[in-house]
Amino acid sequence: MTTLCFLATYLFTVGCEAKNEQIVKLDKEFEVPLKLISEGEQGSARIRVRQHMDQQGESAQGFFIMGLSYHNEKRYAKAVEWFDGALSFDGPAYPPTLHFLGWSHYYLGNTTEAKEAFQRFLILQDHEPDSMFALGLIATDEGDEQKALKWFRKTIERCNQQPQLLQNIAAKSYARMSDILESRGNTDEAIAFYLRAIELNPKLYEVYHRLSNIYRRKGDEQLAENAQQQFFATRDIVRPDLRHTSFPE
Amino acid sequence: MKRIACILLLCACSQEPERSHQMQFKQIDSGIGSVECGSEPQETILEVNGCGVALLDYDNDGDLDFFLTSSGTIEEDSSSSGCRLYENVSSESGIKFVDVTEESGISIDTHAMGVAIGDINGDTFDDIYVTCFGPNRLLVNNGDGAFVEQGESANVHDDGWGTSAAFGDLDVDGDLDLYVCNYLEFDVDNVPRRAKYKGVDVLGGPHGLTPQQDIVYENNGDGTFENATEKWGFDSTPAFGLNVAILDLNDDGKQDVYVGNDSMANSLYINQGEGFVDSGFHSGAATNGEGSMQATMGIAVGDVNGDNLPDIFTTNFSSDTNTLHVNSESGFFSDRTNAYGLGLSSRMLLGWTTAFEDFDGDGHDDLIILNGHVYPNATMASMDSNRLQPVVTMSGSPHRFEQVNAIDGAFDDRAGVFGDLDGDGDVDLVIAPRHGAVRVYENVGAPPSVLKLTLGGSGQNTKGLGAKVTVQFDDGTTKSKWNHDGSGFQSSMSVPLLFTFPKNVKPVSLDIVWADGHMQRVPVTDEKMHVTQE
Repeated sequence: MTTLCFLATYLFTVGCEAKNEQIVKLDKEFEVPLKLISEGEQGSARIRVRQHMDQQGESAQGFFIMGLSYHNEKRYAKAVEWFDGALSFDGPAYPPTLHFLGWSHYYLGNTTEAKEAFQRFLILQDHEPDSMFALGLIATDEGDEQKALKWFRKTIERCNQQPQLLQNIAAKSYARMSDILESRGNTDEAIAFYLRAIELNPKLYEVYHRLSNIYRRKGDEQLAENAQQQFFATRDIVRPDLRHTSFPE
Repeated sequence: MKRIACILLLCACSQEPERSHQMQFKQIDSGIGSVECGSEPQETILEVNGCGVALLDYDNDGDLDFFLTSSGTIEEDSSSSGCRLYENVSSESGIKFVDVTEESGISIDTHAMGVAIGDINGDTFDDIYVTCFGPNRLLVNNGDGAFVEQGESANVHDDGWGTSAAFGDLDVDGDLDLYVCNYLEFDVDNVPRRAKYKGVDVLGGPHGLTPQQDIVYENNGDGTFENATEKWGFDSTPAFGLNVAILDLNDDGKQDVYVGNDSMANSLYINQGEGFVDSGFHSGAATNGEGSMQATMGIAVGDVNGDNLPDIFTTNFSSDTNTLHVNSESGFFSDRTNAYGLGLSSRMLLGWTTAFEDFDGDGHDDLIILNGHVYPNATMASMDSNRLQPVVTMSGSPHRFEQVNAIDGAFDDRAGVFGDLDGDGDVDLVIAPRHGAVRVYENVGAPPSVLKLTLGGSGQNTKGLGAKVTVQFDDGTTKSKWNHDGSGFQSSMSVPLLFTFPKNVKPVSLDIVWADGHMQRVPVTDEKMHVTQE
């Protein structure tokens, strides 16, 4: 939810300075459904969008908002259907559609389709860091650590240009770089990057867990224990639902 | 010039084509008919897990027989077939089994779930432990083809909801103790109310239900057992236990226990000599790399990076990934799922039985994962995951697995066992869905170079359960496997160990660390060997 709120803010305000010739803005009629989605009211949002499209005709942005509502419910296959529908309309694509299409495919495990969507989005908005981060994750899953590191570094460079707004993405990138460095045995560098990640975003609870593990491997029991306690404390604040797994809800 | 080209062409044609190591299976009629496990409908959590399968050699004739449990529904205690025992009568004409249930005297017609195989009394014959929803059963092998049910007299008739179980010598006294996973409290007269998953109405549980404590039984050496759960330190908070593997996980010569739990942290009980301590969190093996608890169904144990330490792969729920925990000398497990290509590809699937075996005979262990959703109404549109799912086969290479589609179709699979059914040195498959006909697949890929090894341990551990075997090859490389019970899912396949290797190398010697920690080096003298503990 936090991610979605952030992305919505970023993509719909800062990010819409599209590189191509045309800037496509979000129809004001969809601001209310978007707000409903960010508040977790996906059903209400869908009703609003449906009503609007019944009156005004179907539109790429309407399909996008429908897709976004399913994306936010973690029903990614359904989201993909709507995002694909949004992209099938004539005229310039609404750029964030590609971004969220990429993430939906990513969460379905469709790496090829995800990569294509993120790359298309970056053609439209070549400075958008969350898609760069996603491409780093995909490269990791493809076993291409060099490429993954390159994407994460690029993400961080981009984030440094707007540190306040983008620090969460930078933090995630530092953490993912650390994972790779740690697997290569660069323990000290990995620890430094993990610490940088939680410096940028102290709510990134999973990093405390990773830190705890790396300290244990080093034999720093006290630091490991502290990090583990910090993990539980932060996770319980940020994601109390994760005290258990989330299925079924 | 033309002449040279012709000669080259002739040479090329006369050479034997290089064997490609492709994973190839063919579903066969093995003579078991349309034996079915489980039953419909699937309306409560009791009807989700399906049955169990085991490979064993119940008649000590050197081939692999199989045993099938049969789960049921609330309406009926079990499917009409009940638990079945099949004798392997394979010949040159192919893999064949005959049903010997009647002759064996086995009569279990209840909610049977999982199965463990071990020689509990040291008579060299495999005995069968069956977990049930209700009292578990112990089928003691008479050695003449017949079994006698002795669950109650042996004091292993726990009446919880048993899922998986495994034998292993936990107290190093030479006999096989028993770990039994229990799932949750379930009242057939008051079934859990339905729940929501991704906004869809689904069967309820395990959340909101009460987990049951697992039970550990100490073998008294006289055919009876006693509850040693507390005495040995297995008294962690009760969890939704679904799977267990017993082997030496920290390479200190003592048997440890890894337990997979549904929706809760997994446990890694490290054997301290005087008892066990749950080091799951401490070792990194309790959760995935992000610290998230998962819903572990299947467990596979193998050495993915060639460091001769056992790594652990677990299968989990859909919209989550399976997890590969890579072991290290310091005893810590690192989540290397994504780096090995095992992460994103599993998100749409809900995994059950899994195992590392060299299915394509190229010398590297591959991976098989059986899948199927717990919710009968699962579709991509509603849950990002279909009810019927593919059997995933992944070809292994150093530090990476690549998906290959060796088996066509979509299924609702749960249990499976993998071993050399026809004695040709490669690994065949027996797969049991949650409900429906058991399928047998013959491995029809290129025959591998293989060393086939059976073990004889000391004392009553006559099959050497718990031993780690490391083969030294003449090119200086090594390969390790663990002869252990458990893992898979509700299944047992502590079958002869198959060490495959490339054509250009030869196995030279075996280093065996037995369950009691003793080490033994043996020269390799044949492609089929039986090694007894000295």
